[in-house]
Formats: sequence, structure tokens, C-alpha cells
Amino acid sequence: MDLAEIMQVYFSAGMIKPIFIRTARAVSAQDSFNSNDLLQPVRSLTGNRFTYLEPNYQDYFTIMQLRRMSRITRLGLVTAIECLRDAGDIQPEAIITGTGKGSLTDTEKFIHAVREFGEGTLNPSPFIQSTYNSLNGLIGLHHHINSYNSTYVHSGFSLEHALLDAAIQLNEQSIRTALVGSFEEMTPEHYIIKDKLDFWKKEIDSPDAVMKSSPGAISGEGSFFFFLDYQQGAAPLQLVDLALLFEPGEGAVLRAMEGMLKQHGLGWDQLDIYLSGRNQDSRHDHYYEEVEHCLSATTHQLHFKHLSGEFDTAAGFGLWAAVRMAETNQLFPSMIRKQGSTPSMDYMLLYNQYYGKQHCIYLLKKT
Amino acid sequence: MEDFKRTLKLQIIEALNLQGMQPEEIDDNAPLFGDGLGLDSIDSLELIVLLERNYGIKIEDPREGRKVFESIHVMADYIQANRKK
Amino acid sequence: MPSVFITGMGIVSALGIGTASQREKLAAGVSGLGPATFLNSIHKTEFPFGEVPFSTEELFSKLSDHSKLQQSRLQALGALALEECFTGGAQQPAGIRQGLINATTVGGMTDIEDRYFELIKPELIEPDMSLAAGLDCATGTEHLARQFNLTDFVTTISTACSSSANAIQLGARLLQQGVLDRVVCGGVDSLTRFTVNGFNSLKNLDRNACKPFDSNRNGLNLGEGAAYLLLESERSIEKTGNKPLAVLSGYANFNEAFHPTAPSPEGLGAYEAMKRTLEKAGISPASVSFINAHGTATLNNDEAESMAIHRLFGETVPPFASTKVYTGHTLAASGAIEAVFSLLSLQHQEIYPALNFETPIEATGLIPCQTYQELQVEHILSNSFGFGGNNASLLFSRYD
Repeated sequence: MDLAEIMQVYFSAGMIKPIFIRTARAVSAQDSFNSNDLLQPVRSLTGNRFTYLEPNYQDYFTIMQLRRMSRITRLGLVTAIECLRDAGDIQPEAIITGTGKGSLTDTEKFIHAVREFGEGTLNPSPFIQSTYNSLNGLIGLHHHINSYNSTYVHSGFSLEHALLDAAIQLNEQSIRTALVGSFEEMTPEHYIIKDKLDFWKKEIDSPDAVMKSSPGAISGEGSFFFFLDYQQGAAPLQLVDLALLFEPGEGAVLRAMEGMLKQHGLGWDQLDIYLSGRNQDSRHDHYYEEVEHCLSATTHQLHFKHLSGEFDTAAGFGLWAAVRMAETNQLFPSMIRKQGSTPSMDYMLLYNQYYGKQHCIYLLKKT
Repeated sequence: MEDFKRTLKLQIIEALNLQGMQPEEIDDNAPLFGDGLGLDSIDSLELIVLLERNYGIKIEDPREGRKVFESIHVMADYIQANRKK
Repeated sequence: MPSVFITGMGIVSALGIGTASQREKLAAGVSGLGPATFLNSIHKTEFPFGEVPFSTEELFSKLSDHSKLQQSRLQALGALALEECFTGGAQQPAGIRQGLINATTVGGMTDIEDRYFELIKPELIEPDMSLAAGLDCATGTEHLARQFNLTDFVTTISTACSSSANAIQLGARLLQQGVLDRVVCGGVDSLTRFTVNGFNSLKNLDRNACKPFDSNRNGLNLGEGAAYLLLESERSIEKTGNKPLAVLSGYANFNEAFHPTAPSPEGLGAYEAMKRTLEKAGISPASVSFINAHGTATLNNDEAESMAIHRLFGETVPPFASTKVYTGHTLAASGAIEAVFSLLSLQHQEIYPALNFETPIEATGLIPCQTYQELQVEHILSNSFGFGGNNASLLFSRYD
């Protein structure tokens, strides 16, 4: 194998063993939280972007607990709470999160307050909550968890680096379990900034816009949490390998995929499900198209950005779907892009890239 | 004074983001911190902001704030005696 | 566990650019704190700051190559530290997987906050929007990674004041498990109006130079800077031929889940982070030569850290000091900046004096080391504790 390939394939390039995903929870623009599946009617855009469906916070918190949690913080905490509950309320030995932007609401609130009150006496809560790791601290406080704790803030790698951190610690057996998750919100103000940076499609006149190819993506948001274990137990899914490529050169994504499959003794035709982060952004969809050319007709091709929108940690929606489909032994109909012929769902490949910069390839196996 | 205490409670509920709490639920004489309402050091900083913005009272040392915020009763007395607006 | 070698380091702080400048001032007991010049804030002369004493333009003029960077203070600080990291070190040898693990608390906020209200007006078309991407922490890191060819693995960590200590820990793990061969780990933060007002809203900025571990301490001073360590595996050293400066022999991270911003009074998190670090290294507390304390000089931190030190080391507390009084609290950069100070101590077998100390904290009676001393230094424990109860410790050991 060419060295360039080995250099990118992280789990198997190192000595990292696969890890098991016991439970998964998702809050997204779809009704994915309460039933923990994706069988409800599809929700379309709210205006020009996807906004997540808020859980009922009163079910979880007292007034005193809620007073200092802003929009995305309380969302992340609720997602984590349900993920831990599904896992039997076992205290994880690490809490690791990823977020591209943290609590934008709080960051903006504080920037505005600094100006409005002329750098005078200011409310500290938005500043505290704008700190990227504040959610980790709150999860720890809420469940009285004393553990390893870290937060990754690297755009389209944020969730994957959190998973990698957990994987290396599970591998060295310094921990046996980990709670890993992501949280991301979009605000009207930040939407404008990212619009000026050409993140979004210009014409979003109808719900059909999500399926039309043009420059730009459609904004989304959400929170995803996963309970990881070093041993199989009742876990429905195994994260066999994870490759991360930064600004890959021509053909490097395919080479990494092929290298990864080969490493695990697999061919393209043994993939049962392919989960694609394809988002109809005509500037970067060629990465996905190259992969589609390699897929076998037996493989079911699924996609998810038309349901979640695009954001730094959107791959979490795909990973959540993989866990839940493996557990319930069914495909989520609203995700099917091209039905394959295979009756099995053993091996899954999830590929996501964020604006052409951060590329993530997950190899997953149903247990 | 009773009206003022009610106003003050409403301001505290807003400043501390105590969504859904009614002024009647806060006892005039119960401690605001610890066993009473259960406020902590960050709330104390928020209340310092409230005092400055609404009443023109500046408190520089958070430790001093904790004495003022002993209860609604103590806080109301302190504001009436020291307010600049 | 395979050894983690440190073969390079680079630093920029209020003490100047480069390790030589830091060592000279640390040894002479000269603080870098003073009024700020380049920070755009009404508080710039009200509080002392550990500002790097050069404008952004001057910082760029000191770089030998900045062709892949943006006109950003954050990136200039980071690049100066990274450039020194590679002094004498070879560029990427064939077959070596190398990466950058960066840390920051607010990314490119300094570069953006003055223009923010224009950025959010939809009708205003900005001629150059590229800096606005710096609101994402990843942006600065990626520019630095491209500039220094560290793109096999690129990430950014943000766990407040412990960020770069956590970056160093991740780097160590990735080397030890063969994911990478060498990795540059550290952090950078530039002074921003956002952060200054944030800490002011918490009322924990001292109007005078801070007094770490003093009974009359009254808060912290903010600073800015960058520092990076070049970590290499055995496999990498065989290829690069780089000589280790020291070994990273232990590390731990422990979240104490006590309060969103304050540590527990007895310093449980600090105690566990230090204890686990020594356990990982397999050495006893008695073997620690020096503790580079977190010592922010806030009421809460220094009390909790003292209690934790007292509990772990008992009656024989090794010499300790906090360097925050030299550099200010550089937040995400502080763990790496203090790692560099620790390495300087190991390299030159000397320890640097605490400044501004008069009266010990009553509960522990701990007195930091107040004089420059030549000393046999074998192991240095360096602490970084942050918001949200995120506590990290690192242990650096002499390489022979």
C-alpha cells in the first residue's frame, strides 16, 4: 500500500482497536428525539434554514437549573441526559464534545453587551456560557461525573476528534466508557456572516431547494450524543475505523477509502449501506460523486443533509442514523437516495466533508 | 415598601432568568443564597449588575454584595437607603 | 507506554519573542505586566496586562515567511512560536506523519471584534471577508498548519484555561499509540475586548499586578501569547536525529464537577489531576523537584490549589511558583507557555522566583519560592486549571 494512504487512515494506521457504540441520541430539524428514530413525517425548512425541534425542557430541569442555560447548552444537556439514560445511567469515564461554534447566542449576546454598556458592568452569564467547554462542565455537574473532559472546536472535524480522543483512551484502557457528543446552533446574525462567506445557497425559495444543485448549502443545527464502550455488550454498532483527511489532494479520498476497506479485508461490494453527507453544493459535490461511481448496485445509498441541513458536526446525524438503523434493523425511508439490493446491513460506510476542507470516513459494522 | 419589594422580586426574576417563577414564591426574609432560594456566586454578580443598572448603586467587591443580598428585606432596605436613581 | 520526547519549543509572551528572552527575564525577576498599548478597550490602562510588546505589523515583520497566513494577531503570535519550534529541527522527513494540535479560547476574536457590527449588516458588502472566518477557532489553526506543513492531522481544543495542557496530552497519546510520529502541541490567545470584559464581569481582574498565593491576592491579570512543543516518538527521532530536550513523563485531566466557574474549596480536581499525573509517570510526590503552579491569583484558585498541593505533598512541599505574574494569564496558551518555562528550568537546572508575594494563605501557610536558584531539577509538575472544573497537569522530566 502506498504510504500516503496509510498516513491518513487513523485507527488502523495506529494501533487503535474498534470501539462500540451502545446508545445514540439526536436532536435535529426532524422529529428524531422523542422516538429515537426517523419514521415521523419529514419536516421541511423553517424559512431559509433548518432549525432543530426543541425538546420540552420543563421535563428535565427546575427553574433554578434552567436559569443559566442558553438555547444550545440546554439542548446539548438534554441530548446527553437521554443518551446516558438509554445506556442505563452508567457514569461514563470521559466526557468529550465537539462543536464548531459553541453557544453563538451567548457569544453574540456578550459582544452586544460590551458595546451597549460601553464596557461597563456586564452580566457574566453569557460570557461563561460562551466558553466552548461549558456544556461539558454542565453534564459533569448534572450527573456528578468526575472524569476526563475535553472539547474539540475544529469545524468539520469537531465530532470526529472527540471520537478519536475517546477511541485512543478506550484503546489504552485508561477508560472503559465515554460519552461523546456534539452541539451546534445557528443564529440569524451568524447566518449573515456565513452568507457573506458564501456558505449558503442564494435561492432558497421553496422546500425543494434542498434537492437542487447550486453553489452553497442549506444551514442546519442539532446535537448528537453517543455512549461508547470498549467491549461489545449490547452495543448495536461498532466503529471499525475512522479516517480524517484535511484538504485532500486529487483522488486522496478514494485512495483512503480503498485503503481502509482493504485493511479490513473488504471490497466495495461488501458495503451494505453508504451514508453520504452530500448536500447539493455544486462546488464540492464532486467528492461524493467520485465515491458513488465506485459503489456496487447492491449497496443502499442513503443521505441526510436534506433532512438536517449543513453544519460543522452534521455527520453526527448520519452516525446516529447508522446506530439506530442497526439497532432497529431497518432503513430510514426518508434517507434513502438509491435503494440497493442487499438484504443485509452489516457494513456501513459514512462519508462527510465540510466545504471541501475536512473529510471524514467512518467504517461501521453492525454487531 | 411592599410594592417596592414586589417590583424588586420581578427585577430579580428577570435578571436571573428564573423563567416561570412568581414573586410570591420568594419569601421576603428567607436567605437568597444557600438554603433559601439557592443562589450562588454568579447570581451575586448578576445582582450587582441589577443594582447598578436600575438604581445607580455600584458595588466593586463581590464579597460586599453577598451581605446586601442576604434577603429581599435586607436588599430592599439597602436600595432605598443608597439608590442614586 | 512508549516515551514522548520533546525536541523543540517556541514561545511568544509579554516577556518577548523566543525562549532566550523569556529566560533572561524570568531569571532576573522582571515581569512583563503593564498597561496595554494595542488592545482596543477602555480598560487598557485600568488593569495591568501581559501584552506582547509589538504591534501586529511588527510581529509579522519578524516572521521569515508568512505567505500562507492572514493579517491576524492570533496567527502572527502562533507563527512566531511555531517558527522557533522548528529552529534547528529538520522539516518533515519522508514517511513521518506529523500534525498540529492547537488550543485557543476565542480564536480570531481580536481580529474581528472591531468590525463585528459591520459584518452582521446584510446590506454591507465587505471588500475582504476572509478574516471573518476567524470566528471559527479552526481557521487560525488551519492557516498555521498550512504555513508549517503540519496538515496530516490538524485540530483545535478549547477547554478554557487548561486548553493547551490538554493539547499536549492528546499529542502524547497520538504518538504513544502510533497514530502520529511527531506532533506540535500548544496554544495561542491574543488579548481581546471580549475576554477582558468577560473577566471583568466576573470581577476577578486585579487593578494591580497579581499576587499569586498571597493571602491578600485580589484577582488575575490577563495576558496574551503563544507556545508550542514539538513532540516526537522514538521512530521519528531515529529519522530526524533530533536531540530530546526533555521527556513528557506524565499527564492527567480530571473534571471535578463542582461549579461552572469556581473550583471546590478543597481543590479535589487539582489534587486528582496532580496525583494521577505522578501515578502515570510512576514517581512519588517526593521526587518532584518543582511545581509550576496554575496560581492565577484569584481568591478561589489559589486557595484550592494550595489545599491540593498540601494534601498531595504533605509537610514536604517542593519549591513552587506561579509565572502568571510575569506573563499575565494567557488562557489557552498558558499551559504551553508554562510547559516551556518548565523545560527551561530542566535545561538550565534553575528555578525562577515568584514575584509580589508577602503573606501566606492562612489555611495552608504555603510560601512560593522567591529567589532565583540553581538547583538539581529532575521532574517538574505543571498545572493548568480551568472553568467548568477542567483540571490538567503535566510532568516534564530530564532526559539523559
